[in-house]
Amino acid sequence: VLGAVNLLATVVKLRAPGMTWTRVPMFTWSMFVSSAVLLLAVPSLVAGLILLFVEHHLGGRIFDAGADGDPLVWRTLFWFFAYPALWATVIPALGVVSEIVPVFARTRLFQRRMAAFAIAGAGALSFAGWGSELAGESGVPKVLFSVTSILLLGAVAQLLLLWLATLALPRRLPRLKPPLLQALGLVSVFGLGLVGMAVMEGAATGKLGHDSYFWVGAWHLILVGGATFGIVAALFYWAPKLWGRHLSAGLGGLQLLLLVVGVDLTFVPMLVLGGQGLHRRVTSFSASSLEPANLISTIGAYVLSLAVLLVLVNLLVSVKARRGRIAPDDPWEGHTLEWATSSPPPPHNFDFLPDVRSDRPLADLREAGPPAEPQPEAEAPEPTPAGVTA
Amino acid sequence: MAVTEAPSPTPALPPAAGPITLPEARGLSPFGMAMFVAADAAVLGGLLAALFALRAQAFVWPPREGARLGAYLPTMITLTVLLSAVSVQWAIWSIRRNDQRNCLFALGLTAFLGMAVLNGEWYQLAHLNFAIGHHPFDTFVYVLTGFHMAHALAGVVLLVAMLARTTTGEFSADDHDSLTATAIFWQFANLAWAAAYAVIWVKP
Repeated sequence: VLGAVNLLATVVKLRAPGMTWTRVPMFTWSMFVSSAVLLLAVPSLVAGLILLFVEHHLGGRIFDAGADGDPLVWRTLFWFFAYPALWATVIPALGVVSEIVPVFARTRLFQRRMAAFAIAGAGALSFAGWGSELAGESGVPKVLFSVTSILLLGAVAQLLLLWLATLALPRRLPRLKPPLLQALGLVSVFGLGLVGMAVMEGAATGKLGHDSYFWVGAWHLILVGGATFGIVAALFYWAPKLWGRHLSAGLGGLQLLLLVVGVDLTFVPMLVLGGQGLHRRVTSFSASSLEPANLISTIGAYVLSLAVLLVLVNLLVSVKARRGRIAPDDPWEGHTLEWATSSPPPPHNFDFLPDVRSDRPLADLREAGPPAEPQPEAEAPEPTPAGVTA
Repeated sequence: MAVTEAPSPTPALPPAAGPITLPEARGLSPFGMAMFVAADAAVLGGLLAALFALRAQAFVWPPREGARLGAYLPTMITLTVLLSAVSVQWAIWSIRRNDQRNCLFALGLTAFLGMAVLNGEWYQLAHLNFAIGHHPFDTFVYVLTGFHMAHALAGVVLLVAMLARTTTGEFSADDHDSLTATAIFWQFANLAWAAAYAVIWVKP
């Protein structure tokens, strides 16, 4: 909570002159939204823990169904925390990809403001979806929570479409550098997870959805696909800035392949297991029909672990052992201010106060400066059906 | 594959005229405190939500065997809390006019009222004629009172610290962020008591 307070206060009160709200980088914005979500979600867990402590250690009585208490109070308080918190772990990854995609597409983020609203909307709606986890609800609440959960998925799906539009609209190939490739890995796994979640929230609520392995599979496609790929993409993008050295692209390619295969292999079979009726949080089962999918899932988990191990190896080799290519100050022709300082930056970041006049101050300077070669203007995106679809 | 293009040179930031002078961040600590209080209020909200959920489905709420909860002491505590809510604002209004003496007196008065409230609540908890685990309602009497006591204690510590800083003349009409932050926290503590009073004594 205090970390969230720190970040919120910094973003609100300590922005550079000219850094208006519409010019805040997407990653900063996503961290802002994520912190706001955690600020208001974690207290629900705290309240539950206070009551649990009072009951277990001070002799209180809250969760005892025999004496006007109710054990379900814990479950409700917990999910009011956990559902937003799960999304809060994914939202920063959305910000990372929203930074990477336009840089490597050499254009603006398509409908930047709409993307910012999508991230904020996902954060706000995460508070309206907690009830969908309390399986067995009936009538109006069940429908209501299904609708809010699907609206949230819609906001995230819209963001995915905006990224794809950003990549497709310039009508030239994006620069397929490691950060963008890792970001595309996120898109592939995340897209699958979104479909799984939509099926779960829309059609398969209750027993088949939330009480089964389908839930585990769909959620983890989102969580592992989102958070892990987000971290990896961010490492590839910002390692040159943080440590002055690139991560190895070769190792990165192998790891990307293993990570995509590992995530899909681990969690897609879980969707099948859920369809076969395997309950959530079951460690042993007797039906032999459940074995193949479980086996594939286990193999996938090893592949997935190997991929994560490769990320660590890459960090150790490229950064710690200093084997990585030395990075210039601005290896990606970035749009945001961090690329204007040295790599790695000095403790105070800038000797001069940067002049911020748009959401891509560095791209502005590059286009305005004495051109070493004629820079093609970033084409203004035509209104396309993509926006309508979104 | 990617279209090959000669990398355009990284633009240098235009040098600013003179050294960096960052504008002073006014209102940083009140804002931080407001955010913390928002989270704290959500904790209180969680506790109250649990109370309302249990109250809605309970067979008996509150358990009434004999005269269990006197209203006199909690009402006195409520009045004291109200007084301290005014006196802490008095301190803020004074420092806005740069009136150090009034500010000092009002802070001292608030800290004193806070200690009186703590004393009253301690006495009350020590003399309740039912155990914490008899019924969920009883648990909430202890939990909500304790929640306010923890905040009142932290608030009194903050107030005393502010008192010490005011005696050195540290605050002025346009520089009293810490004082404002303390007042925000104190008013939230008062709100926590108001909530406890409402759900335990006014409309159990």
